[in-house]
Amino acid sequence: MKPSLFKKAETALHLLSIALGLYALYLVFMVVPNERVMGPVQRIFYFHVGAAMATYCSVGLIFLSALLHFATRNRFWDTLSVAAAEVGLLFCAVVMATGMIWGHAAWNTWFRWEPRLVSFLVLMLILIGINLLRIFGDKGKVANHAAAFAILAAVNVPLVIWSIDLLPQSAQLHPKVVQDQGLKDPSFVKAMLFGMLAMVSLQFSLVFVRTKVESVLRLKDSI
Amino acid sequence: MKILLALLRKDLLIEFRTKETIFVTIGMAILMSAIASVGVSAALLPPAAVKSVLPVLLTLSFLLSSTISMTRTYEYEYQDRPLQGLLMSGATPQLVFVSKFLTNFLTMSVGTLTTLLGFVFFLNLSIAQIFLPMTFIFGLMILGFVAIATLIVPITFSSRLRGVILPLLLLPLTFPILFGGIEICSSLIAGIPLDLSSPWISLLVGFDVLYMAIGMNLFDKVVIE
Repeated sequence: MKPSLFKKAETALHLLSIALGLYALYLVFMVVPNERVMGPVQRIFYFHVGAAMATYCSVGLIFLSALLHFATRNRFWDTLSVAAAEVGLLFCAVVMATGMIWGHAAWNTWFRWEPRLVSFLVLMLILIGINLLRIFGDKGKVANHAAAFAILAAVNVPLVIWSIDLLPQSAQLHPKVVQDQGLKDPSFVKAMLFGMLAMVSLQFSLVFVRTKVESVLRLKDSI
Repeated sequence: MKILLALLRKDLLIEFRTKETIFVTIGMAILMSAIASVGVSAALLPPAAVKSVLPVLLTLSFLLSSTISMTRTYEYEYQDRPLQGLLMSGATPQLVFVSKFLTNFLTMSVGTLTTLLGFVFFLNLSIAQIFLPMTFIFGLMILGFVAIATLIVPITFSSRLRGVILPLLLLPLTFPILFGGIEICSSLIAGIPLDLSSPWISLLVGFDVLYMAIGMNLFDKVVIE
């Protein structure tokens, strides 16, 4: 790709994430009505679901870059993996924080033994592990080690997604909003979709920026 | 097959001669079961409550003793670099992995059995009826744990933190295995017979197979390259 075209694509991505973010904020705070039972606190759901989608996308990127690293040995994939792991951890922390705020309002507790909550916490611990490995690993071997660890981490994601179906519903409290057709008002669906799009585009923007920073740092180290 | 047996013989011989891992595992198992039993006795829990927390206590004891003893797995391979020699002699990385896996599985099984017997002895429990199914479930848990630990331990060797980083990397990945194992053991203790078609058994077996396959395929990339 030509440098000018690359720059244009980057600018377009950043502008898109800003526009989507602003529109999602407008929908969430100005358009969507208060939910009947939960009231205003339910609005955190639009950020929570979007951040969860962004986390899954990051883990997908980590997994893909790990596979491509082993297949091609191109250093770009390792650089991308560094960026995706850091951004993934950030969004995972957002999911946990927003989930806990919602949980405190809905269940009167910050955290409880619930499969989806625990498995997402485990995913966060795995992402912390990948980042720790990057910090404390041997510089010469960390690319292979992090890629191997990323593949192991990625196989846990299906468990996080399907954990809600593994136990009987009586054993868990995490809501199945979409499956149970809980989004009655059309504006709920629109806000959720744009919330997801905004978070995912923000995630790709951040990965883009972090990849560039990491490339520059590596170039500097090699001089 | 001959090469695998030779590798296994080498690993077991080192273990029998040094007795490092097995002593650490058994020692930790006895220590953990004793400490946990003292805690449970001090809390004056009724026998039914003791039984209900047994799977968690067992798993915690198993995790601590296994994680500590696993750090010794590659000690000799990294001290004098005999791994390169092994590979030059015709042993494939997959065979080296399987040999290490089987040796670790054996030591961890002995350790876990000691922990289980330690709890039965110290807490005066009668679990004869569920002993066999419980051993089977712990066997499945050890399979997955050892498969993943055999791959993760060499990663920690090249880290500046070495043994300290091992639990941070290893334990989150073992979560599905531990979660499944504790759920099944709790059901067994509650008097529900073992159902081989339960989703928890599928989860355990699935992750065992998955971790084993990933371990075998990535071992050369982690250890040799």
